Amino acid sequence: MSNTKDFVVEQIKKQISRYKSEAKEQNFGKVVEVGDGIARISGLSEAMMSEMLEFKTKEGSRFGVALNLEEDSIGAIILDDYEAIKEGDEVLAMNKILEVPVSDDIVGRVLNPLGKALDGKEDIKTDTYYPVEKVAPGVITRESVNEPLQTGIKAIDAMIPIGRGQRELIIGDRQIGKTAIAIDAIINQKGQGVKCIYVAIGQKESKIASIVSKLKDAGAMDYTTVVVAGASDPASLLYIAPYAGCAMAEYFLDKGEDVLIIYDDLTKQASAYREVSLLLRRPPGREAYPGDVFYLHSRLLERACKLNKDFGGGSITALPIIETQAGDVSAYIPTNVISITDGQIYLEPDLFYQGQRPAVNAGISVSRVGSSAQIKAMKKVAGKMRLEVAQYRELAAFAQFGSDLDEETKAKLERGKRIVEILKQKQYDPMPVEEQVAVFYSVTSGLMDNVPVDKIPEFEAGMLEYLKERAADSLSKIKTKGQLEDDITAELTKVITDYKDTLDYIEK
Amino acid sequence: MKIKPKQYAISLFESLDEADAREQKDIVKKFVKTLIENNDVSKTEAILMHFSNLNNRRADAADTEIVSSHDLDKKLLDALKDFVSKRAGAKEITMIERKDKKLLGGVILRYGDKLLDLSLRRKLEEFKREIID
Repeated sequence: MSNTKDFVVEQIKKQISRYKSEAKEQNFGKVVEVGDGIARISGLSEAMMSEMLEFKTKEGSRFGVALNLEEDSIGAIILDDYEAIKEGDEVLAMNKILEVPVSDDIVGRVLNPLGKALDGKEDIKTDTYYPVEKVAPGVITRESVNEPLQTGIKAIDAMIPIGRGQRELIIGDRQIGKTAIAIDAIINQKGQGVKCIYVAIGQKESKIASIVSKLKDAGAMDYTTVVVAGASDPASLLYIAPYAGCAMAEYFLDKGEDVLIIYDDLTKQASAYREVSLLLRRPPGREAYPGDVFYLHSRLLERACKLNKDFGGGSITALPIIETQAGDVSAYIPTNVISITDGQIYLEPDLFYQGQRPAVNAGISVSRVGSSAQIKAMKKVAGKMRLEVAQYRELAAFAQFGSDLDEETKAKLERGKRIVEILKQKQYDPMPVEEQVAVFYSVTSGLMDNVPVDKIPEFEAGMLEYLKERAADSLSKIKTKGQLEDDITAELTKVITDYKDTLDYIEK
Repeated sequence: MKIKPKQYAISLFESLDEADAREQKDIVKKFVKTLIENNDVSKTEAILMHFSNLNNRRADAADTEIVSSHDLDKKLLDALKDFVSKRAGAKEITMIERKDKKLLGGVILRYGDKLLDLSLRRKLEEFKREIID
């Protein structure tokens, strides 16, 4: 007993001797005006842009960030609740830019944009902090996108492939499955060596809770961090949330890892930034957004990158989400983000209500850099699919008026129907790339032509089971080599034909 | 047009600058009258702050607030005054003393928009944080 006591005393003595007090001259100011999450401060003549400020209130310290540096005052956003701050309170400059704690422990956690725990576990303990705002990697450090990022969603991996380091926008109306695509993409990263960061901006806490539990069920929280600035959080937190998430991604990037980051959604971040800017009395522009709203998103998305081997070879793939109003992609924020990103996945309400889910519009959706990252096998089977789907939609609309169709058109329509049916996919059910290749092979090679359209989902599932049993070798070869060689296609054709013989609904 | 506190302060400072003692009294009276007419009496505090800043800059002086837990003797005060005048680069230092038992010991100095916390309370708080983490 006395031994432990001595030990404790010894430890405390050691700590005391180690402690060194240091007094620093600090820059201070006084709150002149406060309200709606912003404060105007006099003094603080040496404050830096986006420097952290400490408000000394009667109820303890509150933190803020300097945003407006004016001639004789400073405009700051307050990151905590601002009710405690009163006029005349003292404000100290903290001599550091806003930063977030980062370490390997953030994986599997639900955090707020300042790195505080929101999942009831203890806060992140680390000495490493990353600045929230950082200049994006330069030309010398980068290389072009060359490695695929499999989302596990057939419609995307086949027609709008995404590469590691790409920025692909997911755009569409509310309630149409934008978040579902992002979550499926996260779930599919299991075992792919990709860390995921999901940044929820201005969403209902109930939605976030259900997303987190879904990710947990799928085992995806083992490699995922969720950064939450909820609907009830101050606008200042919503504004910095994507940057904070990106800073966490950069931690893994610097270790040479691949990261997938999802910003859900940037429309709400832009609104939050508009709120903050108007309160800071910055002049409003189009749709009352401030003049630098383009820079707001471009500096964020430019931080997505693929670094070359000399700089660690890591990557950050960004999937920003934008919500449109009644399908209007020509509004201010959507056009901005479309022009910044390397392509967009456009989700269409009409398709959604027709039962085409995910409701990806293959005609308008593009991926400007991803095709160079697609594996060869996928390119071979799905290369022409985008065109075929677009042609089918046109033909289908045209064929509604006339019944007299030539054989070629009929065949195109039948093939189109089956491709569209194949592209339907359940939520939370991503498909590995080798299985996708097998499915696309069977449809584009005409093996599915005599399967009735309404039996396609059943046939697809059965066929995959059968293939996994009888042609597991070929499937794994597709995965490892990324190529679709003749012997593999021969085996696939044989096994699929065998499977068709066991079914009774096939038209002979 | 709205007049900012700083503009008020500058005009008051400039007009007082060239006047003699009797005129100054008159100017201040007129100034207060203008404030009342413009409905800007609430800005008085901000105006005074800017005014004293201007005055200090002109006179190369600095107001220094010194907060301590106990009474300070003359020798210590002079030493502190010397220290502040060196740090702030001002010739004339006006000391404003305040007592705050909560500091436990040491002093807090405020000059211009600089703050130097040399109190025992801060050291203990810092020490507490160090030990807990």
